[in-house]
Amino acid sequence: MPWQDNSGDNNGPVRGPWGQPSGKGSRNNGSGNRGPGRGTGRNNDAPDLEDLLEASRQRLKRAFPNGSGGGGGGKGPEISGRMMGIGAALLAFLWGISGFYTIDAGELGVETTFGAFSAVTPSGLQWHFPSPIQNVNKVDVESIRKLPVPASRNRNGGQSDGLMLTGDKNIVDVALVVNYKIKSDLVSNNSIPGVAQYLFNVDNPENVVRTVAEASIREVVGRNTLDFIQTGGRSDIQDQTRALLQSALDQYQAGIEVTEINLEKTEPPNQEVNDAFLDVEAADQDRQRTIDSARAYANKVVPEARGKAQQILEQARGYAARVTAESRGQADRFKAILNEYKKAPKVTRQRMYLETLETVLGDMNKIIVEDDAGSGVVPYLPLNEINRKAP
Amino acid sequence: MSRATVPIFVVSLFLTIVLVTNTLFIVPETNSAIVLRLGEPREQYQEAGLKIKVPFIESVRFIDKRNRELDQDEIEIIANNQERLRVDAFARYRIINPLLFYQRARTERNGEDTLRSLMNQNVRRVLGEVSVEDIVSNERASLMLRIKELLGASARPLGVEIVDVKIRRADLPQSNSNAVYQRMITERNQLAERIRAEGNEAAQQVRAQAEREATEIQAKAEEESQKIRGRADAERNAVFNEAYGADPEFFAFYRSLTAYEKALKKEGANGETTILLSPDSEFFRYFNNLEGSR
Repeated sequence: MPWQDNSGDNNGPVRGPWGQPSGKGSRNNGSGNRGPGRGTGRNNDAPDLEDLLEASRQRLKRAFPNGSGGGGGGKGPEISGRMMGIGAALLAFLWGISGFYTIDAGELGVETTFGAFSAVTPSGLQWHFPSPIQNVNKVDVESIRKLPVPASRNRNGGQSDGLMLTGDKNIVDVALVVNYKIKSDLVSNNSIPGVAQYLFNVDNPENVVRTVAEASIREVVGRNTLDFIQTGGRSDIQDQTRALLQSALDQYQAGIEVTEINLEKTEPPNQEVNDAFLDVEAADQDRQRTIDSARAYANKVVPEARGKAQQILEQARGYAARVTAESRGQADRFKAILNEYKKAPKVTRQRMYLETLETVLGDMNKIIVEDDAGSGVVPYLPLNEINRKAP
Repeated sequence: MSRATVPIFVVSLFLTIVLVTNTLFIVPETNSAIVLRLGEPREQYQEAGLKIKVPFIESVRFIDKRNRELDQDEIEIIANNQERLRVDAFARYRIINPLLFYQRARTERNGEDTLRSLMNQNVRRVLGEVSVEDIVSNERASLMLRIKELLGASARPLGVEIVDVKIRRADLPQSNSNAVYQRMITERNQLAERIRAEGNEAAQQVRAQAEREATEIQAKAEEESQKIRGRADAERNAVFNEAYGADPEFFAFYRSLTAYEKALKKEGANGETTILLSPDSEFFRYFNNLEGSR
């Protein structure tokens, strides 16, 4: 509320509990709109207050027609005492209504009484004993806060801040985002509610999340192999990191709930190493391609062989058909001739012989030699010469 | 009341306020407080709330009782296998005995300096006894616990509780990192080569298998083909035997004639073959002799 003086929550010993709203303005002399003497009543939002102020002004006018305030009034001290009483009551009333406050949706209010935690108030219009007796801190317990780890991408000379050692002594560049919120449950076993823990238990909670997240991700990465981190292990890594971070935060009673760990990247540490990794992927594709082309070859060779086999078989069948047909034909022919021959063996035989010799000898060079013309080689010697010249 | 009443009232009110503000004080949730009488600690308050002290001669010191971070600069340690490691650890601590802490350290900053050097010693001591592998992976959690216990023991006289110790980073020095990069590259290269070789191996296997299959198919066909041919030849023989067996003598005669015709006539068409004939042969039986010789 606008007139509520909340300055210096933790000033400690210097500020007495009744210090601020002092009646005759030992400290607030100049502030004007508060003292009973010259109250101008700027509070537009409270009509009944306006009336009260108006009434008091009337009385003051009656009491001090000269318009001088404070103890300087020359007339009856009874009136002055009464005035003070009224002023004090008015102040008490103003002080009282300054204890109203609203908590927005998604927020919780944490009330302290003389510095000590006293209650958590839900959203809506609330009232507390105003400062300095009670104070309220409003905390957003709904929105998810995002914290990138590591905070800065580059440290000394292009080296990423996310470099870490893996379990198999490789180095990997990891970046993640921690999503967290303030715990919103109103009760917590054996301790104050989460939102109060957030306010009171830990110094600089965001920094806690960051440093513990860094330690946790390194611990998890250090337990696992590079291959696992880069391929199948992503969600495992996230879960393990979240669990470690959450258990540390719970141990600190930080009142923080880690909703999600998001691994943004797990990359090789520098360009050269990255190239080597890419080459492995290329090799994988090469392997696939080589195998594919071999398969294509196989798919060509085997059917071709089948075709060839079919051809061989068909040729054999053709041969078989031809050979059997021929042999049958020849046999039948022989049988037919034999039949005729049996009817007149001598004549047929003679005729066949002569016919054959006739055709055979018809086109040949023939040399007829007497049997007793001499033995030995001599008579035959120039035979070929004769042959050549004869035709 | 007289005319003097009002100033007296004002003065007494003022004095009351001064007195009250010097008597009462608020201890917030985040702090604990020590009351000092003329510099000498008399009382400590660990619970938040409204507290009372003797005005003017007693003063109050507040000490943060929250869980605070004790960040340590990165230190280079030498593990027991002589490897170097850059370690950045931090501790979380709470001042649980503010009186003790105030007596020993006075200010939080001073206390943190003391804690930091204690931590430095303990980190070096614990991590120096184990290997880099243990620090990075195997034993990390238990090593952190051990540092926490040792540091906790040495911090207790300060009125400080060590809540947790964590190794934030444990990295190799730059030169060792480069060696690791080289090794990673080499490993990847080997892996790539192996993958390619495996590809070739698998491809060869596929090819060889296909070729074997092809050969097998052809060989089977060949076998079948020979069987078919054999059966055909056998049938041919059977057919011939059956036919020629009816009159072997005539077959010999008939077959001879066929053979003469085929063998002698084939290329004889242009007179390549020359034959010597005796006039005594059967063909010339009537050549010289009308009645026929013999």
